[in-house]
Amino acid sequence: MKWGMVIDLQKCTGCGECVAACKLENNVAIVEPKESEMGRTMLWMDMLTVYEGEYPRLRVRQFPRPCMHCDHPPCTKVCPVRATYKNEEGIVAQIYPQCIGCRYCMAACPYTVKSFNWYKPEWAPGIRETVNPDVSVRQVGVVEKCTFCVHRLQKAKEQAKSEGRNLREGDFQTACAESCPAGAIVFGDLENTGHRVNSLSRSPRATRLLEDLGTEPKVIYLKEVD
Amino acid sequence: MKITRRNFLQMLGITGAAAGGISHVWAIPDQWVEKLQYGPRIETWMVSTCSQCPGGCGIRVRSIDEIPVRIFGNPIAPVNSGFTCPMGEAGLELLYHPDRIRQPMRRKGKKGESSWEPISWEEALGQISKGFQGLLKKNQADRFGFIFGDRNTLLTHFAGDFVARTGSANFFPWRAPGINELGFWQAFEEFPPLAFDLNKTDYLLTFGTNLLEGPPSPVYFNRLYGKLKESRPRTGLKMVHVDARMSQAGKNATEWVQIRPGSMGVLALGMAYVILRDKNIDEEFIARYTQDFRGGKEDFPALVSRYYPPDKVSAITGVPPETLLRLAREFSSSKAPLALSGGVSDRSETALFTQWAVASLNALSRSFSVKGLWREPVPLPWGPTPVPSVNTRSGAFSLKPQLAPESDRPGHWASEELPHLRSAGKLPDLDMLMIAQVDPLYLSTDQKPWQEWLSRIPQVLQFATLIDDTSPYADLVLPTTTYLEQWDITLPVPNLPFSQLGLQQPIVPPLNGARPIGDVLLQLATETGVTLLPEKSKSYAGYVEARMKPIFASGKGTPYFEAVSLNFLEELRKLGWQVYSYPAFADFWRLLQEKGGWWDPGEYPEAEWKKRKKFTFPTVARFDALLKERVLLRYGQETQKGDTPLHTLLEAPSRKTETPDSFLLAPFTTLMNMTGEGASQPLLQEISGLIPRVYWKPWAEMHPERAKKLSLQDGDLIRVVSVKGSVTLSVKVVPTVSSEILAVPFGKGHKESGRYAKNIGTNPVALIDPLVDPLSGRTSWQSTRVRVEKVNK
Repeated sequence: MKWGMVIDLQKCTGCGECVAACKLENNVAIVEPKESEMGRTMLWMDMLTVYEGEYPRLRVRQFPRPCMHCDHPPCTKVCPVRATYKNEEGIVAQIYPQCIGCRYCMAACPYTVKSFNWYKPEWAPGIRETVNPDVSVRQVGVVEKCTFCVHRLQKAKEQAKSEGRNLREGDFQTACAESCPAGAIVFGDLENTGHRVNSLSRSPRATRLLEDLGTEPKVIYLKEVD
Repeated sequence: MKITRRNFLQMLGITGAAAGGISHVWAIPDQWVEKLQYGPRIETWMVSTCSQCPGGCGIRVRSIDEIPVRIFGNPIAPVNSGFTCPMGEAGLELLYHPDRIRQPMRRKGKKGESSWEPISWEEALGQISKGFQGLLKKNQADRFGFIFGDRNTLLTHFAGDFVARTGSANFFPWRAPGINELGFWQAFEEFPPLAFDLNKTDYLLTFGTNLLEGPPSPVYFNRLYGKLKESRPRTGLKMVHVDARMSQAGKNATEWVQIRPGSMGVLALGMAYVILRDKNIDEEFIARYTQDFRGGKEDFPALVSRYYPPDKVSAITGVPPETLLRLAREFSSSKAPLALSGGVSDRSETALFTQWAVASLNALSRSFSVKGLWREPVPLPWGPTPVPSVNTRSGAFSLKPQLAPESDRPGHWASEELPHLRSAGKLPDLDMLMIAQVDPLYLSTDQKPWQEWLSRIPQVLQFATLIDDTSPYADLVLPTTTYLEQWDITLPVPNLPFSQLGLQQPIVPPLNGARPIGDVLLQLATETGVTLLPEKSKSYAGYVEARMKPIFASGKGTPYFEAVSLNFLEELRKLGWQVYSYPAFADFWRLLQEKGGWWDPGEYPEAEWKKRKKFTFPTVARFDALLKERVLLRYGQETQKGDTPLHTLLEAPSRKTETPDSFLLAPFTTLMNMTGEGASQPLLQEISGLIPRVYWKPWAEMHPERAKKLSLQDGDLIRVVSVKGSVTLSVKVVPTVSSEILAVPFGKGHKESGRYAKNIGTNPVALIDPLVDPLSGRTSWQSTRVRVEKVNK
């Protein structure tokens, strides 16, 4: 089993709903405007923009960027305390209590997907109600990133177990894939031929970010064709 | 019991190892600890309808121990099929906002000062009721008015009914017009505008229409754009977006055409010139269903050939003649061309001119003859619903069964002009004004007259969840519920090709002493002896329920249903089958609450041209007559100068930039803050600048060439100066704006609206020189010239 994601850029409209869904699902802290100006905004799912050519041939490519969950992750290799590791299902996970906040992993990640918690997570009275009780909040001084919504995997596994069956496609969906109005994000088991991601990942349009680095990302983009 | 990490994890029912090493908890909000400590952690789900915009998306709210924790889309709601937009996601931040008003507030200081004393509901309602009774006794009901932010729900009709039944005509709805609304009303008196089906077009030409970042329904259109984009390589669908700024609609189109603000109508007529010259027109439609196409000297071809040849159009619009020729030929040669105008095009001095020209382009090029492209909205079985209107000559507002073609415009076109109408003597002096669901002091381009007008009215009563920019001019602010705490029905979404009614129901009881507007109006009506509810409902919830009875009795449609083919459902319905079984209304009502709403699975029928008024093409004489007739409007250029026909004043004069530091200000909306209200929600504030990577604060988009000339780089600070004032913004150098504009996001810069919005960023609308489109009365956002100065950090 190897969890992976395919993002079809031909379908993506760049609406940013995946970003909003990810922030709320994973209790990603919202930092104040001043801190935000210092580059401390935390986005597990980001939206990158690339401008190609000049008007009238200008094309703007937008693509959502979660953690790539590399098969050869550079971040795990540099962690001095093994707070980040790749689990047997291919998810690059973080152990927050083990993290010492050295930020080596942030420097090593070529996709800049990791964020550092500069503050104790705080919510104004009332707003704290919106915290998702399924996901822990992170302590000051630790690094965090996209987890492929692994808390949902746990729930899905328990559900399947209680029903005496194996996991089915669709039992476990990340918040971004579930919320994408354009249906551009597909999530599933890359090794399972019954899953859509498996066939999509073999599409002639399939490409990976910074492939030449040999990180073997498990997030696969399908290129735009027009 | 003391919460330790170990027992907390036990309560969660997970262990660190089981959760893949990511669920260890270090910091827990106090209230959450309490909840976890004592609550059984029972998960429940409820459905309702989002009201952050008029789109009517079905939502599904997840609650733990009856405390809502997350909003998802309702998978069986036809408009959004389980998806939401960022504003929909963030709804709980509105519900739980820490600065929500907890009880009625009476102004302590002078008008304009945000100084309050809390009073009880009884005292507040007593004061309003006394004021009402005084007006009614003196037969001065016309001294009462109500400005109502129309969120496309039943509550708007209820509030309008309330005003009408008190004997007043002063109901002022406030909302953005639908796509094509101005043009279709002018061209063939069609209101509301016809629906359209994007699935049926092979050439989509959007004149400023940004379906992806604003009403009517961004989720529906993002879904549809995703589908259309995916199939584009196979179908050959061409999508062209015409605008000075490449909005998301432009980025997702196959081509973006830069144009000077306000000159889109000129481009449409320039295209008409080419199409007429090529004789590639829809002869049959023109002959049968239009007028003024041929009429000698004063007809449409005469207007176009005399005033809109490609070279002149090119000089006005900035679009090269060869692009104009190509667009015209591609559009008229396609099988199912569709031109839409809305968004920025209805926010310019040439709003109605543009939309009329674009409608004419459709009439000329077979669009109206394409099967299923244009759809006829089917009225709900409720009988006629009064339409708020404003008389173009007298300026008087009223509720009418339908708009009168010669003299009326939809009321919401002119609500922003209320203080000017009062100054011109078109509105009576008001003794009591209610304001709900809208913040005119933030949204208005001309704030001073609003401040003065509201200061003169003795009793200004505002329904609000947060103190906003208008509140300092209110005498009494009443805390009202959010859409998550009240009953309502979202009406069919304009421009969408099917009918639906989204049920809003309280996910939680009203928080912090807030009361639903409907119930407050009902109580006031009871106390003042106004009969508001013929159905004898005791509460607004009862009224909502009663309004669904005719829908049940009609036997049409069904409560939301798991997605199957529309055609299949329609066939079943014709055969007498129903998806659900609901022999009595009580069953139907229960199903509505379980499923989230009602819809008619059959798409709207094709538009029938036979039964409607003939399409009128614009001519010089018609433009000039309209300009002379609409005397109520403020406009500085009404007099004819020399031999210049009046209508050429509408060609967006002097659009070229004069000096290196001169720009046209172009405010734009984002999906994170369509209405300005998103600023109160921290998630939306933070991610509103997702694309330019500027979080919380607004920015100014500038073309690289202009930035180079002014020695500006990304992140540099500039002072933007207009005749109305100046603001400081950081520059974002992007190739997605034309070199003549300075594009600034709308929605920031609130003076109030809670801690997440107050004094964060600047409001570009406050810089606008408030020019008005003389034909529609809409205030222009696209006509203000600004100067840019570099500021040293």
